[in-house]
Amino acid sequence: MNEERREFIKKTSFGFLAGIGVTSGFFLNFLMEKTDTSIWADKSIAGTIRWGMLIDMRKCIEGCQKCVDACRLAHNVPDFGHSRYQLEWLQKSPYHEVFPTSGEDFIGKERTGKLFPSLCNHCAEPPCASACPTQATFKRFDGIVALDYHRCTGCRSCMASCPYGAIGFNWSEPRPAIKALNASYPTREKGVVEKCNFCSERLLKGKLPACVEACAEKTLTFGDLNDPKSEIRLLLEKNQTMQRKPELGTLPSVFYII
Amino acid sequence: MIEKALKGNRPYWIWITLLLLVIAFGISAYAQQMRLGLSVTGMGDGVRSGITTMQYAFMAAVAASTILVVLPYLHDYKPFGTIVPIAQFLGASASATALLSLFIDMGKPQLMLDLLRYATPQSPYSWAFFLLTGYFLINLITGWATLGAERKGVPTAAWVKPLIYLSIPWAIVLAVVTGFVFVNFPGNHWIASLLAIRLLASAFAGGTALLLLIILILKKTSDFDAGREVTDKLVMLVTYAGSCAFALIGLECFARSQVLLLLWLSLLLGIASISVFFVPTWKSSISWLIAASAGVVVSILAEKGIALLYSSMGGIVAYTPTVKEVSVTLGVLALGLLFFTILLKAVVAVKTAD
Repeated sequence: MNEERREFIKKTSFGFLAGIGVTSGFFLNFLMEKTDTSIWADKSIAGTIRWGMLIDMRKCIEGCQKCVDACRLAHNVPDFGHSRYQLEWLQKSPYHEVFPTSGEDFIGKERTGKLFPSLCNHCAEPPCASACPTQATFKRFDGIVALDYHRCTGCRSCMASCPYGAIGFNWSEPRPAIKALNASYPTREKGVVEKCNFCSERLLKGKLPACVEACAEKTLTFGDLNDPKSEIRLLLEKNQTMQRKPELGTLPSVFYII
Repeated sequence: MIEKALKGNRPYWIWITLLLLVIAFGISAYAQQMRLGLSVTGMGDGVRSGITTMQYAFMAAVAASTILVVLPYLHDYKPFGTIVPIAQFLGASASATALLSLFIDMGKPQLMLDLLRYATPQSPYSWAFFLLTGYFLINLITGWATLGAERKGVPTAAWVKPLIYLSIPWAIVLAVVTGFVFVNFPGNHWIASLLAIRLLASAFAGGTALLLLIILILKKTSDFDAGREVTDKLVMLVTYAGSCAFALIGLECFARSQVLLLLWLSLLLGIASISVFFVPTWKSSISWLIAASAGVVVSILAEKGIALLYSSMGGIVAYTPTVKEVSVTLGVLALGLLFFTILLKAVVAVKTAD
């Protein structure tokens, strides 16, 4: 090829690329939808809230599934009807699964024989959030460990790093597996993970999480761990409580009285 | 040089047809996985990773190990000159296979490029994607440039050497960080005390043993002979790395675990294979060398597989791979082998001045 011609093509292509680059700098919203930022105007200041939950097992009734059912309904959690694809945001599990490192020797069966509500711990140091390669799992300003279903690539790194098994994966299409569809919360698609979000969509409207509201026995107490006058803080001060696998340093925001 | 892959004898074409057949099977199984989701695999609640991840882990280890050949060559150890392009192309092919294995394991593979867009420094998975892609490009480019220069009988271009230097720390980080992805380890991978060293040692042992195996197979099936000195040196490297690796894997046999028997078996196979290298008469026999290096490869592969059986919740997972899952995984392996075969054909053609 002619040397001059080669040089010409080289320079024009560089010029063309540079042109595109500069244009995208001038028109930031090129190809992007405009975002209305006013809805965040009254958002709380970072670090001032840390939502937490206290589960008082002295009040929990055996065989009651009201919290689990309320959670399923509130978030369109699919039921694949197969233990291998089981996916729960909130479930009731035996003591040795919830507190495997706490030991159950010499503790009375009336305390360890129950089924414990278990959910995402919304850790202050969430290992899932640091394992996620796209920041689809992230810690919010209010301590909630949230998940962006649209950004999740389905790599399941979060599942491997979560010591509580709180994250579930949609091994197949979840929509046909939803028993009763709730139009006020989005459904997910196959190939993404999902987990408890502490009902952040309800908190936004000033409501308590669905599981807390559904429990007539007041087993579940929800509140701001950073507010010394909140009910949860007063209960934490007065009672001997425990967290799941505290030795891992994840600092769970869910506490138990057993 | 790529045109050399279009000429070959009968066994060569049978091999290529076989690979294409396996790839076709893999693609048809993957189409079903696209439609039905990852439920076509044997994975499920508590079983987050399967044979695809095992293949990924092993291939990433193989890719990283090729640095053991490139490094002495940079220190002017001339005999390795003949196998440096083979090692580099093995590094490129293994990286590509590892990347593809990650890809077929994703729930939403269409978001693969988001891994670049939202790259996260604290996430091992994010690093693995970046390091494998980079290692693939570095090895392919430097390998191709070195081989091309040799064919034309001109000195290698000046920009090649800095790239090769870059590949040294790259490979060492690659061996460790890609391992963090598949280990079910609650808490902090980055500072788990023995994990990183063990990943490094087992990668170097398994990968170099595989390279030795490839060189011996080439000697049997083509005109290419790397020479006694090269195989001897590779045997030495496998012995060193393997001794370290099996000592570190052996430590785990003291932990209480339900897969202890499997672990013992893989460890015994590894130690027995390494022992072959210590017997002078066996060491000079090609059949013994092939058997021993295959033994090391299988043992390291088993070690990667066993690591997946540990559940992040504690205990051991119940997992049986399905036919579709095996088809997709083998399809990826065949694709990697096809890529490697084509590159290898070019190397052999240049080296034997065909």
